[in-house]
Amino acid sequence: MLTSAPATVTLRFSERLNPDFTTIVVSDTARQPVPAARPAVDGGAGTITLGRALGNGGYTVAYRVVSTDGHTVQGSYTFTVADPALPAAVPPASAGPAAVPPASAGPAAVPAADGTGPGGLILKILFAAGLLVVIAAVVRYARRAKLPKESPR
Amino acid sequence: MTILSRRRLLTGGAVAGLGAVAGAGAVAAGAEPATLPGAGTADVGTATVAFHGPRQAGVAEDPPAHAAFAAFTLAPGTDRAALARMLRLLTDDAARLTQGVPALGDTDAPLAALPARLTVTAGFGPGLYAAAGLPSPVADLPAFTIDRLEKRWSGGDLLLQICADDPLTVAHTQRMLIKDARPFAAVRWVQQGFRRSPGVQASDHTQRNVLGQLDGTANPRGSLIDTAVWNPDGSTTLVVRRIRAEIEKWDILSVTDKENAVGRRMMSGAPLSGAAEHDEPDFTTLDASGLPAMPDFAHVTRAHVTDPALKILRRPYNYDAAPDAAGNPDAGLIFASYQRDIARQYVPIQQRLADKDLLNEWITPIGSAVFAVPPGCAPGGWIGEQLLS
Repeated sequence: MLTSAPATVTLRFSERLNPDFTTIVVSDTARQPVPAARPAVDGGAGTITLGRALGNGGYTVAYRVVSTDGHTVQGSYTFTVADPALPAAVPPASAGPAAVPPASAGPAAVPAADGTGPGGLILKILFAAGLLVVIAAVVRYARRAKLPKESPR
Repeated sequence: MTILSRRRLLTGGAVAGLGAVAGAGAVAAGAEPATLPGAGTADVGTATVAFHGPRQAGVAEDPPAHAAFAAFTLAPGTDRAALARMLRLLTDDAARLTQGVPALGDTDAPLAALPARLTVTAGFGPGLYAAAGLPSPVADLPAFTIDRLEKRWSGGDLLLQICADDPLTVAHTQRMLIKDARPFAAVRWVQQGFRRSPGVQASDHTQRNVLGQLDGTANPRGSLIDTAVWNPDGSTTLVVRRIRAEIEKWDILSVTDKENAVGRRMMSGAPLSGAAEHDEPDFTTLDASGLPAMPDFAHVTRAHVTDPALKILRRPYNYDAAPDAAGNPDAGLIFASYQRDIARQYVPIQQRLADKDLLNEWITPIGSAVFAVPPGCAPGGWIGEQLLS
């Protein structure tokens, strides 16, 4: 749970990403994609900058990337924005945001807030031979006063 | 024994033999839905495709099971008059052989008796127009980053596409045509390929290629072939690409990985956004996690064309040469596509695929050639006469 909405989402992978084969999508609980430009790729990191500020509620980050040997690796995880300064989330018709199991093998990422530093949502993902293993998940968030345009390195 | 009676004899034998095979197939095939029940193979050997007409044969018909693509390099000094002599000869050969009649001077006349839907389609490369002193309607393709072209599979001044449902018929026809072309042109390359044998599947069933993919689902059908393929004068164009398949690497993939690379289900051929083979791919469909159901890097996503006038008619054949000592296959696709205008229809598709297509990880273009396919001819006429006479 994030007490401030991220402006960017960065996925860090253990292999270099090919920008042509990197897709990252953030969707809300109504499965509507949050507008965002194509991911910016830097080595093993793919970052999308969200086109609008996120309100309180549940979100799903889904990714589809390709490993060096051509395997497609895709998966998703959820996070919740609960900013006390924003209106409370309208509960969705169903029982709220549920984790969507990743399409490929491996456990889903469990993001954990560490509460330090400004920026966006950062996930670290290791993949090899088509297997997805999450080794660390770190959420960094900013005070809502001003959302940075890019995730700091 | 005359040729005619020998032909009748051969034909009769073929009918009896194939009838027995077809009967056994009907019993054994059981629930396999794609198999023709019993019938359909009895006249395979004697079936013919008309040679004469305003358009050349061998383009819009269902592709027969076997093909040889033979490309030639014109002898130095071949002029318009020599081209006309050569094409009269080749037209006469094709007109006879496709109807089950031996070519003039056919040294193995009995081999002509079973045409098996034989077609011979002539294409003219840029070099033929240069030799005739005429502007060429086709130009070599631009270089694509994915290309690893080999000279032994590329270019050509003249192409003869020979197709039939029987490999011996193709071999005999290839032999007769090369013999008659020899005074005018050297063989540059020959590519031989195959599809499913007649009767193995219903003719409207999309066939699989050596990578196991249903290949040709998006082809124009019916009257849309006219829109995409034929110019008003009966001409069209042909692109031939030899595309090596890295089957050993492909085989490592899971079915899901293969489907993500192609954008279609391997079994059904349905787009990942749909349920049935001929469902139109929907690039706005999202999966449960919010990802596009059709990956943006998938082959179908990149190759997709909606405007019927911009589609191409794919008429591919598989090739499978001898594997190397380590058992690695030498296999792939003889990609052949017909379209009115290569620059307007084929090149944009190929450019998109060269820019981004996950399938490129497992396929490599190693040969490339372009040909203008002139109109057909009436009895007594010859292919190319509008151009060269």
